[in-house]
Amino acid sequence: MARFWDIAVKNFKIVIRDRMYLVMLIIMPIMIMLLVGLAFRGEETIKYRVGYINNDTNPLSRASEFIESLETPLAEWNMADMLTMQQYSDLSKLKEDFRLGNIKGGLIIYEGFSDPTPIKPANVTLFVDESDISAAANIKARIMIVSQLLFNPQALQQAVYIKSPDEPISVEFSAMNFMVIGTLTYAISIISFSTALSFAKERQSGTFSRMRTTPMSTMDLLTGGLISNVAVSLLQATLVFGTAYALGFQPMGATDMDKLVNMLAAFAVTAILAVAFVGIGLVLAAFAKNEDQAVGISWMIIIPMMFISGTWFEPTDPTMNTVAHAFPATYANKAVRAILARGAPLASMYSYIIALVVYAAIAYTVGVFLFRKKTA
Amino acid sequence: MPTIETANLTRKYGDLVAVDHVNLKVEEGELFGLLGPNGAGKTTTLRILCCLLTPTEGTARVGGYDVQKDAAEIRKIIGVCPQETTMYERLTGRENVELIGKMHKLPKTELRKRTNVLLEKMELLDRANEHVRNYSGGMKRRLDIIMSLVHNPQILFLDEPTLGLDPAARRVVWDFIEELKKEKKTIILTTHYMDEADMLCDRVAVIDYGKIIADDTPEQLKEKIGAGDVIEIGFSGDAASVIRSLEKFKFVRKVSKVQGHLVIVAEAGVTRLGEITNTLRDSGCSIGKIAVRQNTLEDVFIHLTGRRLGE
Repeated sequence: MARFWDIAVKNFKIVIRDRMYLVMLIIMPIMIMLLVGLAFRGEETIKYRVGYINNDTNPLSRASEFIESLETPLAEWNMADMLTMQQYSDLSKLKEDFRLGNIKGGLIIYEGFSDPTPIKPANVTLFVDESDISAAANIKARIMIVSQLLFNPQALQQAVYIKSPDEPISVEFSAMNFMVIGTLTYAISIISFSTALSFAKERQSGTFSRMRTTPMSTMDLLTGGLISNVAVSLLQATLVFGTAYALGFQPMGATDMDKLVNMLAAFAVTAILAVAFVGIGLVLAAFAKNEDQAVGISWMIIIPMMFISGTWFEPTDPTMNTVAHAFPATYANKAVRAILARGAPLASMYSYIIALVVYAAIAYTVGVFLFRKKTA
Repeated sequence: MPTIETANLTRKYGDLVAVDHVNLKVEEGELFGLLGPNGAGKTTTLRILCCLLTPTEGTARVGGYDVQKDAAEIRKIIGVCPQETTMYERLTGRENVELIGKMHKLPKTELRKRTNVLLEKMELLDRANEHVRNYSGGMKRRLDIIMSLVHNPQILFLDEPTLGLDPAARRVVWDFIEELKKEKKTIILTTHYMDEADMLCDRVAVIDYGKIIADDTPEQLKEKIGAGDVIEIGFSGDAASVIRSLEKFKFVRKVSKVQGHLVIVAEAGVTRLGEITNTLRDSGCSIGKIAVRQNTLEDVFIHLTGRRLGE
């Protein structure tokens, strides 16, 4: 028998006799497939909330009919009722809800909206959340189709003339803006892996025992690990934002000072997220018997988290969105995207930030407790 | 008061008793050897004394402190060189040494000075700024010892400090330990090298299956099994019968059968070889290699357990 065949048989035996390999190679792919399937199974029934202000007071105006048509299914176009229109009287309130992510778009209808003139000026302003690619495309398409059906069904030409907003509320969110924050979250999530691995390595190599023969306490070791990891996370954030900036990324904010404050806020959220991931890493290190197990278990947490916490894309299924709250990345993604991509003030993100702080505190405390218990 | 004292020290892992009611007393400035085969309980005993393990039963005091109640105090006064080379591979030798010094809060200038002195003594100064992963096994072992000494501890635990070293590197370590003895440090050294224990230790405890089976100076231990020569004879035949015959001689102190050899402790053994070999032939045994030597601690172990240390 050829040597390579003996090696192959030997490797196969090792794989099927090691539960960690089995989980990594067999269970993980199945789990990821399930998660992706669950996350996107609700795509056809999703509804986007769009805010509107109707300034067309003419009794003969067709603005109300337009709004109503946006909400109803279009059987001839095979389109479900995908928009929920929410009326606002105050433009600033509409803008605030948009920044907070409560609505995916804003529509401002001007006076004389349905007045037919040969050369039309713009009669609506539309802004959409370009960071949600699916929402942006669907909202725009729906408005164009409905306007055409209502106002100019015979000629295939645009009937509603859309104007860009006057202020940077709808500054184009590029796909990069979305991915910058995703990339940052992904980078920080690796801290749970590196924490688990480094502590498992310390235990396995005996350096942890050696250090425990000195006056160093376990808390010294854990705190040192926390500090170094938070420092690493800030370095990661600097590198990610620096690279993105070089490629055209701009944080949102009305003034330069606002932009600076928003960037600093993003760094603060990054640091809190890093603490949460160190906590998760410590929990994993407590359960891992060696370095190999630490690596395997870490990826079993990180990869599913990336799929359902909105790191690379927003899950559309409500159940999976609920499950996503089990991961700290979910809160960080929502907060940092709102701050940097929509210019939401830091204070408005308090619910996500408080949730993240509480999560980080609990994760770190549990991690420390378990690690100390396992290494006592 | 002894610097190190244990009373009925016991450590169990399930049904396995790794350390079995061990009673030890080590005086200040003494170099105490814990001698035994692999798995005898030497390292477990040391790990308890270093506060890395808690005893299942019994007590242990190090420097007057209880290992279970005063671990923080003990850690300030001990230095530990573990059995496995244990250091951060991606730090330099100097960084590893200084890290331990920093854990002991040594002032910066003192730490730098002491690090240099120790690196020089162990012939590592010229490689001090290289990453440890580039070191040979012997260099790492020497660095391990430096790391255990950088803070000038009162009590030093050396767990198999020369394990795996070549003869030249062993000699460097032995010389260094001799120097430490002169500094009147209390040292506990575990080893399964007879010559090492014999040469270095003021006192030796022999441990087997977790129990202390002898505790005395190397000279006294050897004296107990009888002064004289040790004759090793490779043979095949009826061991019980030949041992009975040999034990009738007054000059024979002790006869054991170990791994196809007869180990005979005899006064003036060289002059008695003829009588011994004749006895073997008369008993119908065939005789192989014959060696005559002075008795060693290995013979003490054989005398006490009927086995060699390596078995």
